[in-house]
Amino acid sequence: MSLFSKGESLLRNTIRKGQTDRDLSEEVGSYVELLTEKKMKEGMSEKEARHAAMVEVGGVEQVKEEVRAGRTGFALETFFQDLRYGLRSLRKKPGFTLTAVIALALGIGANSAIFSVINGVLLRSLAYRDADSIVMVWEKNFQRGRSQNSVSPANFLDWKKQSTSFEQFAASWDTRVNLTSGGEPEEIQVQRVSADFFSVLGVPPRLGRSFVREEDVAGGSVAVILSDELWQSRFGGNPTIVGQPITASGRTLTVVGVMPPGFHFLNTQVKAWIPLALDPANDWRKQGRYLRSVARLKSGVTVQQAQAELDGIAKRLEQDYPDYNKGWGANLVPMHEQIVGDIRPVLLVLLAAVAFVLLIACANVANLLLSRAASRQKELALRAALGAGRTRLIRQMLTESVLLAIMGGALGVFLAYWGIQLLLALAPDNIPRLNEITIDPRVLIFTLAISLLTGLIFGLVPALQSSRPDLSDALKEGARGSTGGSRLFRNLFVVAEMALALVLLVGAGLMLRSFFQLHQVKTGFDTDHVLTMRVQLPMAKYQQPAQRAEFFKRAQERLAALPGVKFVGAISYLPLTGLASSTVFNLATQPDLPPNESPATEVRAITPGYFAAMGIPLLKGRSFDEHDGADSRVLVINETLARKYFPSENPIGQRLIVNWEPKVADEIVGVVGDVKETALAEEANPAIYWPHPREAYQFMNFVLRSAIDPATLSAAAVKEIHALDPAQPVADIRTLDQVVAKSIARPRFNALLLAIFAGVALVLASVGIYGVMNYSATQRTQEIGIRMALGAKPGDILRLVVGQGMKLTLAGIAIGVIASLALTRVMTNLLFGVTATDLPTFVAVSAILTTGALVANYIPARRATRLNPVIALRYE
Amino acid sequence: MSNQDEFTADLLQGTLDLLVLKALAAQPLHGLGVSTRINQITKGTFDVKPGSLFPALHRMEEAGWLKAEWGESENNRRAKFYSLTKAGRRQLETETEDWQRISLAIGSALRAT
Repeated sequence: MSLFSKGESLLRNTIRKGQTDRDLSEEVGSYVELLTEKKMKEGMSEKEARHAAMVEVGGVEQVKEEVRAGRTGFALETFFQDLRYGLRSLRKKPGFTLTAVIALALGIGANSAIFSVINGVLLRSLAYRDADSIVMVWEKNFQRGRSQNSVSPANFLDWKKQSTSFEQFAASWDTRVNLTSGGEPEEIQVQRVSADFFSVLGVPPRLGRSFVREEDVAGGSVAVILSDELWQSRFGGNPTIVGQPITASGRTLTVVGVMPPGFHFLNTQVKAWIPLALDPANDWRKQGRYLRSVARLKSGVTVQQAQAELDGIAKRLEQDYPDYNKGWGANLVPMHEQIVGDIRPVLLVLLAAVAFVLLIACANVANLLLSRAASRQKELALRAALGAGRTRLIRQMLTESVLLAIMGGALGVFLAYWGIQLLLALAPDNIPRLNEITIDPRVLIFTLAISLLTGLIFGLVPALQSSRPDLSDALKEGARGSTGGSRLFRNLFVVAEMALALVLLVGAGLMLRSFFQLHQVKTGFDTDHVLTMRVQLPMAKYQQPAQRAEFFKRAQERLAALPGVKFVGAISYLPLTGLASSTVFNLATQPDLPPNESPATEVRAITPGYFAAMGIPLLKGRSFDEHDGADSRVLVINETLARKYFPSENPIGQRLIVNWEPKVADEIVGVVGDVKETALAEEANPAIYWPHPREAYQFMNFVLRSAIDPATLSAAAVKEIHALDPAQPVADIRTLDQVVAKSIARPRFNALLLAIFAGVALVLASVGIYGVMNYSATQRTQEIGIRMALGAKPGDILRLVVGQGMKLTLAGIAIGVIASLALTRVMTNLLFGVTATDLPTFVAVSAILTTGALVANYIPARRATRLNPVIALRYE
Repeated sequence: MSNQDEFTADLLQGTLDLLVLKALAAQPLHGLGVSTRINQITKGTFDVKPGSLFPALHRMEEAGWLKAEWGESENNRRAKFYSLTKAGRRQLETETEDWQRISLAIGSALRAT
């Protein structure tokens, strides 16, 4: 066919459609006339001839439809026709349309929101250049159950020197400084990094340069690189900042660069970078492991190859330095895995949850469509009689359902937008890459794709069901009574909805229970009415340990004198804040074991009054007082250490040698109760406490137990610190309740999200079963009327209708329980203090769902009992 | 619908086109005329029903092989008459040649032992 004639036909068929159609009608009409005449000539009566002609033609409209189907542009024309028709019929039933669109929007919106999180956190590549070649290098020690332990500077230097797999090899550690330039004194987190750090990550500064090797040596000139945030907030985005000096912790640093916005390495709170300046001449094997090392693989080298090389190096180091390295190896973790590794299971569980919500929404809308199709039977029969083939009817119905789904999807994108805002507001700040979550084109494509798919899924069964109406019945009788097939499907959908909702509720129930278990864990201290705050002295100003001890002593005296304060104390590392210090120790009565075989303990420095302020009970002996000075040789241990190492003797008066400078024997003077140091979910470790003057840390966390609302104390407390030193910043002012809450923010977030989704699922499923039961009760109006006329009491009717719905509900719950038992196993690692097959959760959740279904069944059943039998019998 | 005309439904695609072109080769005909003529020239073997005939006529008109005009039937009824265009005649020639080649080939294939 020539292009010209094709174009002409398309033009004629679409633009002059009316004309073409009239033409066709006339042509087929004339055919019938001619045929009738021919048959009359052959001897039939006019009536017989006309009838025979009609039979032979087989339906004028069908013939016309066949002709149309063969025309150019037919598909397009049909599509627009279906679209117009679909829009019209959706507009005619606004209640139905609104219900369906809202159900779909909830399902699709939840999916888009969670997908945008997955997209931002898991799928989008990291903000580093060629991030797939970046690996974290940790130390590992299987005996101690550590796979990602901080790295010793000595081992870092040896790995770097001896390995050939890496282009660059860098190390960092996080610390804090007091920034006094550019405004009020402020304690900020900084990262000390080796010179290669920025080239490992492949991110150049937006202004100035990164560190050069000469700056990364002990005693070198002191350079600093600012984060974009710090540059904007403290230095007003000054474009000439490079080369200028700033003062931090009493030292003068020269700004050499500013990093681009959003740049960070494992810690989003870091505001500046300072050279690490490790001195290779130092004997680092006298010190602990505290670095994080990160390296860039040479191109062509795989993680496995690099791991194999480091295994060999670590083995040699183990042999060369058995005291320090026995049992220790190297462990490579790809950067992406490092950042998202522990959030991935949570996100996948959430994705499964929202997929379930969407499936429930689909089942709901499919049921709505089935009910509606019953009332549309007459219309569909008419269309079929007018020549629409079955495919055409199915296509029409699918166009409508896809249209619904796309409307739902469009609304869903808005819901997702708000959902993401809510998510970000609720999310704990230790979820990685939160700032990268947005609705980007990938999320939009995902939404469009699931909308189309959804439309096809929920539209298919209703379309297949209702596209084969029994023409004569449907036209004759009026739309009464649905076919057995569609009732079966409706029931199946209800069962499926119930089962899906149950699985979701079980998941949410387990998370909630697990969270409450976590919440009830005994911390070992009393969080009620306690304010905490952190004070870090600048080393340059307080070089002498005695100065630091004096400062904290005087500060504590001033704070204790504040009205409303009952007890005050301070500790180097506050429990549950992540940071901590630990080492190994020996009993003085035991031979001096090498470090790698000695038991480990947490190490804390405290001021007198700390235990009272925290509410930690003193079990034996005494606590510290002002007489325990810099040269005191006493310590307090916790219950776990006492139980483990002095199981049968009195620990008081026993002596420990802690691997810490100076290495001397200390006498145990007291035993206190255990506290949760690292996390609520973890068992307490052995711990020792020293009086602060003996180990005069430059930073301490004050703990104020008060008789009044602790939050009202903060201004006065800061004023007392400033009275001692106006340039001294005070950081992390919060209540002890907030500290604990923050430590379990992530499980709370998981539980909250799953609970929201499960709630949506419960509502959707209840609405779904209500819709079906309501419809079925309406369908049975006449039957119910007969029963009542024959003497059935309202109670019987109630039982009849509710019983039918509850049978479906219970079937759904049974299937849901079986599915849950199989599916919740994947959540095992996310749970605490509750198993994935927790019986109380299963029972409670089944009860909730049954109650919801009962209410949904009761309303239509109740309505049925109020029928007037006379009216019911006449009901059409 | 096509199942109303089982025999033509089984016709090879293109065979119906060839018969229609052949039927119109002698003179312009209306729809019923085409179907009657096909019945005659195939000695009653093919009875083309409107459900197949009209889609074919319209398709071939769109392809530019046929031309349609309203006219008067033998007993003065308004009817649409189809006639071959130049392209239609060329198409008839090609299809005739093709058909003869195919029927020869199939025939010899069936005779082969």
